[in-house]
Order: sequence, then structure tokens, then C-alpha cells
Amino acid sequence: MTSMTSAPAAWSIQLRKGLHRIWKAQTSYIMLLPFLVPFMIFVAIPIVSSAYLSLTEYRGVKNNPPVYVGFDNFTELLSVEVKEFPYRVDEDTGESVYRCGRKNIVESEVAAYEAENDESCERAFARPREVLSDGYQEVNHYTIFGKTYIIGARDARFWHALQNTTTYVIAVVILNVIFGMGLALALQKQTFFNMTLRTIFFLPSVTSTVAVTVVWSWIFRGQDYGLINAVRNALGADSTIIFLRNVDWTLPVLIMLAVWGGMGYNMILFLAGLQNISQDIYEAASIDGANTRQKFRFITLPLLRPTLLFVTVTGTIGAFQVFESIYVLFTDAEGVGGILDSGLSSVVYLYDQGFRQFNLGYASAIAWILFFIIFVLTLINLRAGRTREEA
Amino acid sequence: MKRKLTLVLVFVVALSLLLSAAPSSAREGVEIVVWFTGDDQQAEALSIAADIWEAETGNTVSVEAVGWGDAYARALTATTSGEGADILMGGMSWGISLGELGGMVNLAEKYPDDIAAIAEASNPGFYEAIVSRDGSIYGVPYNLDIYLMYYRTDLIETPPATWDELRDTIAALQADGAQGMAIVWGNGDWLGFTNVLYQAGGQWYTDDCSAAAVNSDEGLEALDFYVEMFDSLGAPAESTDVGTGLSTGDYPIVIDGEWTASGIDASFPDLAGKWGVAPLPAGPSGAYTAFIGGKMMGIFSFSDNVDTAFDFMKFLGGEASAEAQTAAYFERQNIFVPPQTAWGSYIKGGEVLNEALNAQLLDAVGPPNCYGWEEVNNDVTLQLQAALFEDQDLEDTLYEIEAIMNDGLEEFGK
Repeated sequence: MTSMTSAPAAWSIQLRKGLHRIWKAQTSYIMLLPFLVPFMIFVAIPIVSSAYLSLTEYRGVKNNPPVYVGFDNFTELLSVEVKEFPYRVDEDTGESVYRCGRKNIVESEVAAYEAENDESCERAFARPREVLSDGYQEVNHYTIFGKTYIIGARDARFWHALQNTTTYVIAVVILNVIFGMGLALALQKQTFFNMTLRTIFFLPSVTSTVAVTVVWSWIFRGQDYGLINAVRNALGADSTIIFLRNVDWTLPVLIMLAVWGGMGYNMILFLAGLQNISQDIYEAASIDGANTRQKFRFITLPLLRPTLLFVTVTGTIGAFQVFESIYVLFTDAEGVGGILDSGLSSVVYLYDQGFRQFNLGYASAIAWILFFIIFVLTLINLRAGRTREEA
Repeated sequence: MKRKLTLVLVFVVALSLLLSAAPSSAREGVEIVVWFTGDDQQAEALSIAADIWEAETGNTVSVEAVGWGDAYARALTATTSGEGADILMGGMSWGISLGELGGMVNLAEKYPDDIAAIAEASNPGFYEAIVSRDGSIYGVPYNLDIYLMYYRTDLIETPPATWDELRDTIAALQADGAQGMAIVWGNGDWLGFTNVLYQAGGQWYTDDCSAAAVNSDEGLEALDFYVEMFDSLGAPAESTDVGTGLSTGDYPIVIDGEWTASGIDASFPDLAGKWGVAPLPAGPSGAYTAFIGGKMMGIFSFSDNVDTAFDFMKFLGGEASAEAQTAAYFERQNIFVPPQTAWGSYIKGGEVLNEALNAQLLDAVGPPNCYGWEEVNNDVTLQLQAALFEDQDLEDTLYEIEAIMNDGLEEFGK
């Protein structure tokens, strides 16, 4: 009997003590409210909602509430298979099939075709649909040690977007670090000329991405009035380059835009890092006979490591979230990723699924996968940075 | 006594609330809110027609222009929240997609006689595209957009009327230094391919929407010609606009929507009197089919003014509205094409344009209304682009498109 009454009493005392503590610190909590309330409304609740939605099929309509589907969205997104990619054989004759331009022709006709059309043919692969399991589409195929393998996915566009994003992130982060550091080293002396140049290089960072991209879209236009093509024509080029509707140019254009817009910001960060390095160290190294390259390799670079880590981590996160430039350059009424999805990034695909197709559950699952990828990459970066510091 | 009085008061209040919430028949003094997808000038032209209806009925219309980029998301948000306008005017496929989500009133069920009359009066290509597979109709036609062929009259004596004539004309123009032809609307995607597919005698799906029909001899012939347009007839992957193409002489033949015609003279005065317009060239089947698009208008299912809104929509399909809107669009250097075949004579764009437009409207086809098409047409475009720009085998392309469309039917079919 005693135990039955004493337990709630102890719990009640604890609660009362807790409430009393809160009451005593009420001023602090009230001061926190202006941050806490918007944080809860605009960050915490949407994150929890998105986690829930990622487990549902939801079209965003009142009459069709979210339907719980477990991990189906994630399974659909992450299902990948790799199979050997066989060459094609003609069903009727049993002959090998060759790809000649846009035509597939059998081996016995290849020589005649090549002679007539002055172009060479190559072995044609089987139709991806006939090789891959039901519901899988080709993402890409690679030849390793003489054997060709096809990679298929249930959502090939997601993997295609991820592939584009990865290439973009690697190129943008590396180039932005190189150019940012290069500019910082070149412009670190406090002269009027250097300060003017720093301002010029930093300007793209404070300009609206959308406005800048619109201007670049005119520079890259494929017609004669595109600035680059106009200059090329003036210099005597006899053809125009179609930058924005050409698979080979899409990513380089996007990377160039990002590097142009981002290196000035990195330059400022590296400049701040450089100013923290004591001149005494350089003087001591000079006395020891170190040359410029040795000073950079053994003093500047190691001491810039915290800045380098920060720039790499924030650059990776930012590059993974690329959206505006692709949206402005490539999104039209019919699609979002440019020709053959060559400019489709993960976030643009998320936008397509969420706000054009209204698959909000599926889009939420994409968001969580991206979060996980960025989280892991950031951990790797931090870990690598710490290991280097410890070493 | 006091209790009885209270009961009477409650009854009166409840009755008045009930009456005000009851489904309305068309009544006076109602404000109809319209979300119009398009620009401010077009919305203004709509308001001019609305003025006539307001004067006739004593109701008012509030028109709000919404950009194409935002309109569908806004309509869906309205469907979600149950709050927004009474009428939505937007993309012709939006009625079906929003209606199937429960966001739009099924007009075929609510007004069967009126809808039968509208079906009778409307362009068949457009009308077929807005009917759901189960017969529901969530939107009626508001205006039409259709492909036309623009050409330089000083360089081309007679516009090509067949594929072969187009080939010959382009060859002659290229010999004189021109790049060739250009496609603007739907360049390199399924919209542009729809024209040649139907001109070749093919179609996307079987008539009953039970399977994809594009992988056929006609489909192959169409794809071969579509590829030829980009390979040897000069169509650029990144298109020019009509005025620039015609003005520079690089592209003396440009295929684009009818709306382009209104701005050419103003933007390119040097072209005045030097350009003409004609229906698309006919394919081997003899058809000169063009894809037809345009806006539908539908009523949000949460609207309190369904009957009045439908009354306004019926007015917009009438002669007075057609006359007012064609004139108002023309004043704003724009072209309004009424969806009702009877009002074709009101189109204001000049004699040549009207003749070409009315001829083209006789052979037009809308987007497929089969299940899954909305969801898969982007993948179809990717396959077409693989053939156009990546040299993918044409038979493989059609095989893949067919499989994608059939997968769509299976996944989204009911």
C-alpha cells in the first residue's frame, strides 16, 4: 500500500521541481521563443512531416490523404542491377548485328554499307529491356576488362540525375578550391589594384543566380546572336555551337557557371585563412632557405587546412543542391533536365517529382536520400580533415 | 416564452444558413473568381467579354492572371486546401488530372445536355482530348492553339503542301545559302513528333486506348521523317524564333503555333509583306494533321457558385464572347482562336492567316487522353531525343516508346 502511494508522490515531486526550474528560468525561455517558434514551424515540423511523407504515396490532395507504403519509395529509387550486356544477334539469321549510324544491320551487309556510306559500324548491343529484369531501365553501360556490363535501375532518371550531380559536384568543388585559392594567393597583398580585382571577382557571389543565369543563357545561345557564337562567327568560324541543346556541352556549361559564380566567395575565405598565418613562419622558412614552392607546400597548405575543409564541406553541400541555374537554362513546359536529361540534377529531379508530377511522397524519399548522401560525404570530409590534423 | 423565442430564432438562423450554403442555381449578384493561366493582356481581353455577361446577368467576374509556371501548382494547392477561385482556365490536360484527384466538377454528369451541345459545337480534336477515359468531363474548351507553317513569300513561291515538296523546297533554299527549316513549339519532343506521326497515318494509341500503337510502319516512316528534319532539312536542335528565322533568311520555313503571327510585323518591320502562313505539309497518308492545344475551363469542386460559373462558361463559348474576345486579343497584338468551329470567321489575324488557320483546324489532333500518358510522355520525349541527337536506331526507339507507353497503361490504367 505504501509503495503504491509513494511512487506517484516521488514522480509528482520531480515534476514539480522541473516546473519550478522552468519557472525560475522563464526569462531565458521567453528570450528563446522568437527563434524556437519559427524553427519548430519552418524546420522541425517540415522535417518530421517529410520523413513521414517519404513512407507514403501522396499526391498532395485533400481528398486523397497519404497512403502508407512503407519503404516502397526507397526501394523504387534504390533498386539497381548490373548484368552482362550481350551483343545483339539477328533472330532470323543468327548473324551478329552491327550499328551503322542510326541503322542496325546484319554482319553480312556491313562491308557493303561501310563502302557505300564511308562510315564504320560497330557491334550492336542487345535491347536493354530484353536484358534487364521487368521494370528496370538502362542507366549506363561500361566495358571492363573486355566485358560490357549494363547498369539498370527501376528509376533510371534518378540514377542519371545522381550521376550528373556527382560529376558536377566533383568538378565544381575541385575547380572552385583551385581557382579560389589561386586568386587569394595572387591578390593577398593589400594594394588598391588587388582590392579592386577582389571586388570584381566577388561580385558574382552577391548577384542573383537567376539574373546571372539569364544573362549567361544569352551568351551561350546557339544562334548567331548568342555572344560566344557571334564572336566565333566574327573570327571566321563557319558553324555555330549549340551549347544548351547538346549533351556534351550541358554539364561543362553548368560547371563553368558555378565556378565563375563561386570562386570569388572561396577567394575571400582563403584570404581570411591566409591572413591568419603569421609572417614570422614564412620569414623563418626563408632564413632556412625554403623556396616559394616549399613555403606553399609545407606552410601555406597545412595551415590553410581548416579553411580548405570548410570550403570543401560547404562547397559539396552547395553543389549537391544545384537548382536555379538548371531551372533557368533548361526547364520548359515539357521537361526539366535539358536535352536527354543531360542537365538533370538530383534536386531538379526532386522538384520535378514533387512539384510537376505531384508525387510528394516519392519526392520526400528523394530528399531523404540526398540528405543521407550529403551527411555521409560531410562526415567523410570532416574525418579526413581530422585525420590529417592528427597526423 | 423566452425559450420558444430562442428556438424560433435558432430555426430561422439555421434555415438562412442552410439556404445560403445550398447548391446554387445560376443567380444574380454573385461574384465569379477566375484564375486565368496566361498574361495580363489576355486576362484583360477575357474581362472585356466578361463585361457583357455581367451586364446581362447582374453578376460580376473577377479575372486573375496566373503565369504558366505557377498555375498548375496553384490549382493543386487550391484543390488541397479547398479554397481558391470558382473557375480555372489552364492547360487542356489539367481538367482530367485535377478532376481525377477530385478537384473539379464532373460537368458531363452535372450538365449532360449542355455538354452534349458543347461537344457538338467544338473542334473534335480538342474535344476528344478533354474527355476522360471513363467519360467524365472536367473542363470545356476555352481557346485553341495549333501548329502552322510560316514561310518567306519572297523566297518561296508556293508553300510546300507535302513532305516531298518540303524536301524539294528546303533543298533549293539550302542551295541558296539558307540553313533550312526550323521547328519552335515542341522542338525535338513529342509535340513536334505528333504532327508527323498523324501525317504518316500513325497514332499514339489504339482507338480504345488498350495499347500503344506508335510502333508501326507508319510510326517508323514518321520517325524517319522527323529525324530527316533535323539531319538534312536543317531544323536546329536549339530553335530560333519565327521572326528571327524568317528575317535573317536562315530559316525561310518555320513551324510554330498560330499565336506567333500576331507579333511578327511589329517586331520585324522589315518582314512586312514578305511572310505568309500555310497549313502543315501532308504526309504519305494525305493527312496534314497538326497538334492542337489550348486552354480548358473547369469549375473547382469546392466552388459555392457552380451553376453561375457554368453559366459564365457557356457564355464564353457563345458568339458574343467569340466576337468580343477575338477583337480584344487583336487590339493587343494577339490572336484568339475560339474552339467552336462556327465562330472561326471571327478570328482576326488577316485573310491569309484566317484561311490557313481554318484549313488547319479541319485536320487537328489533341494529346492522347489515355491513362498514363501524362506520366510517361517525358520518357517518350527522351527516346525521341535519343533518336534525333544520339543516333539511336529508329526501330529500337519505337520499340522502347511502345514499351514505355504500355507500362504507363498498366501502371496508371483503371
